[in-house]
Amino acid sequence: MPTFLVNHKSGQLKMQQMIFMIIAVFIFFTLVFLIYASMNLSSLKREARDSQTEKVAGMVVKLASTPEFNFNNQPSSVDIDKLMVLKDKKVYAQFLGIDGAIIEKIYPTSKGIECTETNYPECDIIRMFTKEDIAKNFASSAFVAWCRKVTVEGRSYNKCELARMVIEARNITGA
Amino acid sequence: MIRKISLNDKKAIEMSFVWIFAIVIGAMIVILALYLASQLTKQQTFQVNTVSAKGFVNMMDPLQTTVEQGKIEPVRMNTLTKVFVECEEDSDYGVSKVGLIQQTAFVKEQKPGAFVSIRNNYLFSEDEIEGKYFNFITVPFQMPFKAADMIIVYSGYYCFVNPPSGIKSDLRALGISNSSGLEIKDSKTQCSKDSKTVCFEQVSGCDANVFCDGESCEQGYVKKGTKSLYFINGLTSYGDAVNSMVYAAVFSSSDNYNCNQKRIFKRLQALSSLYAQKARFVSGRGCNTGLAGDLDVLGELAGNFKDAKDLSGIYEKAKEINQKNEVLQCQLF
Repeated sequence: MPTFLVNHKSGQLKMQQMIFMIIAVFIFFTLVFLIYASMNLSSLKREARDSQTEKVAGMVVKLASTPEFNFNNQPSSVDIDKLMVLKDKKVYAQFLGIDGAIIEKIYPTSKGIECTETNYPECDIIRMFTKEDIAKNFASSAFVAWCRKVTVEGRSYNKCELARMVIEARNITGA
Repeated sequence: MIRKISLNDKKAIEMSFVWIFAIVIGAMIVILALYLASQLTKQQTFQVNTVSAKGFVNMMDPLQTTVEQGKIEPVRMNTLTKVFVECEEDSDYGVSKVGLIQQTAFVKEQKPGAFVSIRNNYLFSEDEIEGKYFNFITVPFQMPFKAADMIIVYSGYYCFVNPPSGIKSDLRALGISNSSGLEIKDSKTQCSKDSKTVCFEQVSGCDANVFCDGESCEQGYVKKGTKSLYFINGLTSYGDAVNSMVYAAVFSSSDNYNCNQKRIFKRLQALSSLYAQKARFVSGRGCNTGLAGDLDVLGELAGNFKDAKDLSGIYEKAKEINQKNEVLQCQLF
């Protein structure tokens, strides 16, 4: 008949040791996982920020080509007459994926006069969908042609001047 | 205290409780670790697929037309990629959505990452396209002013069989080459074996049959199986028809085409309203066009677009506006 000898105290001690060991191992792996997750999250945030910056940079040119902004299918040209109609219609801001845009005439001269229905076309700045200045962190700018139709003595021609367009886009995921 | 235990069973395996406990807990830890690893891999794959979908969408940003009439841009992906394209209409202008699976050696069974939405692009394609090489055709839709750029995505090879002269010259102008996956042949038998056939007459066994009204293919429909996709082509600034929607119909699924067509007409409605307001705005500044009323009507027709029978009304009105604008001293668009 085989015989087993069981030492209760030493068994309990070994179990306690093992439980402590398991808890220690568990805590260790949890910490490793947390460090990995936080590193991963920060790299994801950085990627998202880079992607945002990259996208905003390309958006100015893209925006100048959209039918709502573009003048006569000419590249990098904005139709100021259309923008005067659009400028307070915030519903377009969401569709175009921007928070705001400021177009300022820079050549031949700019007196910094903001365009309203009463002073147009003797003005230099159009604020689209915004009343405020644009925060530099979320902004991107490009040179565009500020174009409109001009009629002199019954004859019409396209008049284009040099301008800078700055756009603000904080959340452009849907654009 | 030491206690003696006697067992009669000679087959019993001698194992202390500590060992049993260690094996059970060890197995639990291994299972938990494996589970966490698989979850982590899935999450990583989801993340990679989402980032890739975003990259795929970002590639479309420079694909805008201005002076040129259209272009084909080939794109090569690093691995075999499956692209899922969805189109949704909503109260505004609707969205195109892109999801993506990039095949990896480690994870065979995959689900697409998060779908990336694009609000101001119109992505025409089959619901699922797979390949390593993709082609983007960008064509403007003008009715009579430019309403949108249509971006058509396809993978693989397409053979256009005996197309009318207008389509033939269009395809050549777009820049067909080996990398574009497009070819023009006189008969179906001359097409490459692995290409999808697009026939321009009633030929049986083609993947798609295009029926055009006239040589310029201004209007017509594309028949794919039991589905018919009606199209109406855009207008150039000189009033000529420019083929655009016919390509969208050829390369798209029925649901995608119908949804994007409705989205484009919603945009046309908004743009008609914008041009009508511009016409009123400039009329007080020495540029009286008299087009505001016509543009309001065009906007209404585009806004009421439901199906193919509404197409010709929109086309005729756009043509009329274009003719009136052409003779103006101070043109509106």
